[in-house]
Amino acid sequence: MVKSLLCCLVGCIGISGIIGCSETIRHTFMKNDVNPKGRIAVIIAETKFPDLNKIFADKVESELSKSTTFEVIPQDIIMQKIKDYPERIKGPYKSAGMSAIRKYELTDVDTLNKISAKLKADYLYVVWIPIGTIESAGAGDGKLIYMDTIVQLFEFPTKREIAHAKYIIAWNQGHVIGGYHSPEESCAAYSKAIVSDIAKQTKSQIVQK
Amino acid sequence: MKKMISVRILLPFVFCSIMVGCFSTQPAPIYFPANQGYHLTAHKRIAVITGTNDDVDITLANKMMERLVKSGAFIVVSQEELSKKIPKYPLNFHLIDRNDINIIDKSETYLPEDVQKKAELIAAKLRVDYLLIVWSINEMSCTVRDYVVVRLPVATRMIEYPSKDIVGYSRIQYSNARLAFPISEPSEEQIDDLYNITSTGITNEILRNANIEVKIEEKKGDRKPW
Repeated sequence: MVKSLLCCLVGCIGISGIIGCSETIRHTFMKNDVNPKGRIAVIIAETKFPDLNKIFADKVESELSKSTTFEVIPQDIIMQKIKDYPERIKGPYKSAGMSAIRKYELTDVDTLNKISAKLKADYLYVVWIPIGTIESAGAGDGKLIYMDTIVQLFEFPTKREIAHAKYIIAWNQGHVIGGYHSPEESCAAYSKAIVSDIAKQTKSQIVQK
Repeated sequence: MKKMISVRILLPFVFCSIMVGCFSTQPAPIYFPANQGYHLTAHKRIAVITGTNDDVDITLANKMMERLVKSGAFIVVSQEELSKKIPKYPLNFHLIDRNDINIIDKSETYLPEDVQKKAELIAAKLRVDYLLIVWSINEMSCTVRDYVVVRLPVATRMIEYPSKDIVGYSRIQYSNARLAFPISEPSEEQIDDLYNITSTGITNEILRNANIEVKIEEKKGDRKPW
């Protein structure tokens, strides 16, 4: 009896651990001396997964507006001001089909500088999602989707790299217990963690009264 | 006894050294002339362009361009000229739709009409006699078991101008393998090696088709018709 109760308890803890996953994102900050009231834009710089890029950029943008003191430039304004946005911009990685080897110095900062000038932005949070992986999971049609995401936060016109990070946005499809069940749900959780880290590191949190 | 021990110790090393080297090469055609007996004419003007904006395709096209330049057999349009004359080339350039063109039952020289028209415009802008389009049939893929095996299936089309004839093509998969120990993912070196084997293999065959003697040593890799 005790044994079965214990098994049940361990199982419940395990499942709740998976279901209630809250993300933690740590950017590597090279500089922290940013203007917390500066103008910031989220820039999509890889066009391979257009739907996911749009969801992700919208969620990060809305979280930045809600939780930080930055002045956020919305995606529709970016589209108006930057012809053919979003387009591929040379990113901080060497892609080899199924893997991306990070090399932060490869980024085309000059193109980003031109974009920031057109947007009158002080900061660009630039997002590259170059690789997606699908794995079978659970019973039958269950799938786990992993999207490799590389980001860099730049300051302009100084062209200073403020921070960078790599994380994996993941969600499930089909019959899989726990985790996130849609890209929207996953991007919402990740964007909270992303913005929380940026806000903390740049001292741009909105203080709740 | 001493001899026995040394053989026992050495045997795994001998076995590993044989297996670490790329798998045995089964000679397979790499670049085919569309019509038997057709030969490219050396010293004419050629451009090598990527079929898609995928980094794998861009890298392959650049490497093949470099090899042709090095051979001195053709007048090769430079990367700078391509970027200047083809809008958004290469990062935001799309010519080939893989889903449409990679269907196996289509002819190996198949190129959709709209792609042929776009290619013709590009060739006219670049004033070339040959346009070589390169793309990966599927993305580079990798399997990991005892070995990390990376595969790169590649297709090309060589178009001659002003005739607009497709005079050559490739449809081949290159792969290389290394023991999955201690790291179970492909290294940058393994991937670069695969790019080099692939680009050298195809360009050497193009040079041979143009009756140019190939002096560059070809690295061994496993290759199969796709």
